[in-house]
Amino acid sequence: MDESVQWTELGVLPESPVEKQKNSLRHIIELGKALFFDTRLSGSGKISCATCHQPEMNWTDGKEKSEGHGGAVTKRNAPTIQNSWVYKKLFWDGRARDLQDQAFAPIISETEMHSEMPEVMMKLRRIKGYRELFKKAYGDEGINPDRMTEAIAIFEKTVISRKSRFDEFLEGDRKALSNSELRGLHLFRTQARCMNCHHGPLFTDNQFHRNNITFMYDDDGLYKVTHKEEDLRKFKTPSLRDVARTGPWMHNGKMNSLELIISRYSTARYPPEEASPLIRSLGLGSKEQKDLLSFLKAISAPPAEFEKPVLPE
Amino acid sequence: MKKVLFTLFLAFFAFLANAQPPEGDAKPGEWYGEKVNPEGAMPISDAMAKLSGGKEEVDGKIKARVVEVCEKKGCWVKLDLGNGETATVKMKDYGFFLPLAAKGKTVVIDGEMKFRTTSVAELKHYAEDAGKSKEEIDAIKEPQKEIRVMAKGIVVVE
Repeated sequence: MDESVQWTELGVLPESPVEKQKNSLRHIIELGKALFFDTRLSGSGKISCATCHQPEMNWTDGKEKSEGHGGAVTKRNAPTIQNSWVYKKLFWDGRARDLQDQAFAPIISETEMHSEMPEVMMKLRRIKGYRELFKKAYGDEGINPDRMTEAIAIFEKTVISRKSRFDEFLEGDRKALSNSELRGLHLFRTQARCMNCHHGPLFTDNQFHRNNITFMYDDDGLYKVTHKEEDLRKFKTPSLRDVARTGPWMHNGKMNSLELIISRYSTARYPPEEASPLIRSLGLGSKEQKDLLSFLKAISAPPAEFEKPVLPE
Repeated sequence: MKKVLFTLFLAFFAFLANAQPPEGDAKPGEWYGEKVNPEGAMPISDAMAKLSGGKEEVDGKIKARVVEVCEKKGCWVKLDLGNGETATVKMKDYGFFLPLAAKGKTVVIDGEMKFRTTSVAELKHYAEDAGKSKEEIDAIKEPQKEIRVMAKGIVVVE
């Protein structure tokens, strides 16, 4: 670990912060779940949040970039919503302050769901089932953008990873990890320097870094938001929970295998000069690279079972 | 105690950083979204004339005065069209926001400007939702045309 890094130890998968209030929030969660899966929120009536965040694909779409309105392609890769409650800023460039703030964007963005808030409100107010859901959730039938996005955000906070073999190991099952995975864990914490950014039980420092791993300079990242030179091409550190199941990787989806990512971090040519000082060429041998990959697979689990909602009529 | 104070200090700045719309005084030269070179921008009245003359959309740099900024997020602004009406600007990909201080400033916007029509049926729905009387709703017979701009970038010039 670099001394400059204030890190926290890896740990067992934390429960969602709404878990303890699940009962009192159940109607809001039910509403948010319906909204999340409802294509009527989009201008074309064909796209919902779940189009790019599919439960059976660990809440991603498995694509480099996502397909939005009329075949329009998004600018960046759609991340999973699992454990997204942990992020202090949302989007790869951190331009949204929380999940509720974030939820506005895809609905209104012309490349994504291509809707307008007044239109969405008008449509929802004319669906009896929604009037009932909003009433159950909020006490009256008032349907407005704040309630809608809050419900979506609270639903999203309930979506977390399933425990992985790494969690079983931490909880005392010594046999849960193979020797290769254990070596990978050790590398992850030491020579491979992963922990400098991917630490804590959810494997993220909630910060922004420039890794330049794709050698592509077409997206200014955090700089777009802060206008500070030092933030040029910095992107949010994603959680590594389920990483083996949420590719392709990086903000632009340009890395299509974890082997490639690990080998790039390992080569002498990498990193380019302007990358974060936390990132150094690792010089890992092929066996070590394999061990590291095994560990990444050991912190990846299939998504928890999920029942899609029946949409209100 | 020092630690507590430091945490409070951090929390305070985190709070400031999270305030929306973004902080800022929108001085000349400040920019949002893509960087825009203000040179060669056409006045919004010229762009309007092109649209009124039958052009479907005007793509390029438009200069106009901001008369309103979305108070919640800074995610849209309204421009003075000079004829008592306004044009609504939305940000491409919902990708950037303007501070409230942009109100009253003259800006150059790089984007696409075109008419957007709201149908009679939609207008009636909106009127209904706004609690208008049956007479008022029945009186809606014409679709509404408004000017929309989809902005890639905005720079403050005056």
